[in-house]
Amino acid sequence: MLIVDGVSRRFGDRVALDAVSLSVPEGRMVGFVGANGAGKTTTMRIVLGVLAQDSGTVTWRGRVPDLAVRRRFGYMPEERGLYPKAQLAEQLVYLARLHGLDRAAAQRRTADLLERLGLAARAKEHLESLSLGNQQRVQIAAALVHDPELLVLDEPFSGLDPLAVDAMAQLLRERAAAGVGVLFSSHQLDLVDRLCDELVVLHAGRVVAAGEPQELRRAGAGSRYRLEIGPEVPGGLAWLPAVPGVRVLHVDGPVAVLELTEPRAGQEVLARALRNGEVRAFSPVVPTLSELFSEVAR
Amino acid sequence: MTATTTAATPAAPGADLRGLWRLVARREVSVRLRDKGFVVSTVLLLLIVLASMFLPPLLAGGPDRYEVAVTARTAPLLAAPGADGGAAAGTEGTVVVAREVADAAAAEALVRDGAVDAALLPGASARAEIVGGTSVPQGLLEVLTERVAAQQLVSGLVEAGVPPQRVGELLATPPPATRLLDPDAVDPVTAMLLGIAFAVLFFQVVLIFGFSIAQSVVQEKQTRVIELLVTAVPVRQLLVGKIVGNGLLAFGQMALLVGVGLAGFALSDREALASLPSLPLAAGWFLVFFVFGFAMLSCLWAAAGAMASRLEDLQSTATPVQFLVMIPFFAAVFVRDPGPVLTALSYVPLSSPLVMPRRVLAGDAAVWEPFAALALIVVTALVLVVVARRLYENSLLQTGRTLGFRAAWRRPV
Repeated sequence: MLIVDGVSRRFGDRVALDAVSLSVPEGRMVGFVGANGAGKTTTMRIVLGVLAQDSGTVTWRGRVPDLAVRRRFGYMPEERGLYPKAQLAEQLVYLARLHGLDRAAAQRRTADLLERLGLAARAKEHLESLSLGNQQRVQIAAALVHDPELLVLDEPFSGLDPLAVDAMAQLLRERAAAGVGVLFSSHQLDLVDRLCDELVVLHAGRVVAAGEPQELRRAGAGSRYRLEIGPEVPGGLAWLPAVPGVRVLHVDGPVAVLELTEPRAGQEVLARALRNGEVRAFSPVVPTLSELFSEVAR
Repeated sequence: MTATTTAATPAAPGADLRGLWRLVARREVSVRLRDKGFVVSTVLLLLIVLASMFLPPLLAGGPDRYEVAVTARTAPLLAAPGADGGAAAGTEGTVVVAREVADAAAAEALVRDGAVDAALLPGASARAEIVGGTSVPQGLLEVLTERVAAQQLVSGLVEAGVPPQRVGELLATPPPATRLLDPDAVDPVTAMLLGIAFAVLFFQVVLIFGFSIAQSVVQEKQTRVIELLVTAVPVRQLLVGKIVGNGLLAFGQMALLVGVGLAGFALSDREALASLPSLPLAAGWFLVFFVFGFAMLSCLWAAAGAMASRLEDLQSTATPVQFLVMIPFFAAVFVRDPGPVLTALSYVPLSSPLVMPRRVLAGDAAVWEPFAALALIVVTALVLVVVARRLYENSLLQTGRTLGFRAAWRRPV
């Protein structure tokens, strides 16, 4: 398990990270979200040892990792970069070997990955001759080629078409299923929602929410309910604000969103609505990740 | 700073990490060997070396051979004097072929057509006359004057009653020999020219490969691949790998040029080689000095590369290093004569690789002197490596701007 514990970092007067803590357990995919400048990239660079923190610790399997350990991590930096004039296969083999694989293993892994990413036929082409989307795939391959024990991916999905996103997601799930912890950042919240086992929301250098997405939602939903009655019901929802323990957030024709200040008031609301006539829906409101995100980031 | 960190403090790298420079060096070599520019420049340098060996004798046209038109009367004057027919001193290698024609008019016609180099005709005042077109080649003029004078002397002596036998003996008397009180085995001009050739080679190869190291460093910064590399390889291993890789190529190129040059020299001018017994030794020293001199400078080139962010910035960050290569070069080329200045230059670490081999070649360096100069280079190299490594390590991850020396020297915050 990777544990980031109380890590802070400033750049000059600006606080980039303020006691950030998070963990990436083996086999779990941890989504890392937050607005631009929230500190995601800084956190990732500190995990990889590219940048030093001012205080706090990063531990991997209980120890502070040195380069000999960190080189078994896979990293996809925010600013993409490989050798533009080198052949795909050649540079992947080179990177794998720098990360400690022997030649045979490096070549095998490279061939496998290029095959998986649909680039096998272009193994001998120069990186710069590929489309940006394909270059992005090679960048992913570069992070995976040495069979890393932990993956730290900064915006791995940006710039990918939907098909490539699916292939990539599939690849990451497989790695996670094989026991690899994955920390990935993304602005595509629906994608994060679909993929991640756990979520860390960063805002202005602080972790403002963390946990499994369902849990977070349930917590965010709290006591919010949505009530929809038949459009022909006489009197509509005019009675609603008078129910004790209910705060009406907004009403739109036959639909209302309300908050229960008194948990048992829900039953009362439903009973009254049924007495008045048709009830089409009465359900807790579960916010989408985007709603949650804009809530915490506010 | 309260750096309680995982990063930046390089933990003791495993043995696995220590050998990584080999991978880096191998990549540098393979990339460069496939680089067309590199191949072309090597071939070009090789051609220049070969040309400088073979062209001058070719242009000079080998041994001088002249044709001279003579008439029946002047033909005897052209005969080489002396019983053995040996030419007079100073005209060895000059062959004069006589072409006898009917009369002076025919001879002059040949000269005008350029069919012969000159004509030897009876002169107005009973003396012979050398007739040329617009000019008479200097070498031919000397030979003709000498031979005619000798023949006139011989016929004069015979007419005066000296027995021809005696005349032959007189002519056979060898010319005065030269005896030097301070003989110098090596022709100083040849030694100086070869020394300068060494200096030019050093200068060229160091500039070319220095720049290529700097470029290779800045390219990794510019393409951001450096961010990936530093998560796998200790920065020092990267630096060593780059220097070793390019250094091997540079040394290979240099050894090739020097070897081909020496072979060409041996083939084209055996005598000159024989007169330079210290040439192989000097060439050997030159290669040794090259290795250390290159190592000393190459880490500075790497630092210059790291301080730039883009290739376009390289020109400015590399300028100080270029000066460190160019100033000693010009000093070495402009100081021609042996003396205290040249001796001093042969010890100054930046210029000693350029000058010490030349002094060895000229035979005026004691056996221990190259070793002393080399020791100075090694000490300087150690200092420069420490400085350059710090500049390199501090600058490597600072992208987006060109760093000055001070900014690069400070630890990044």
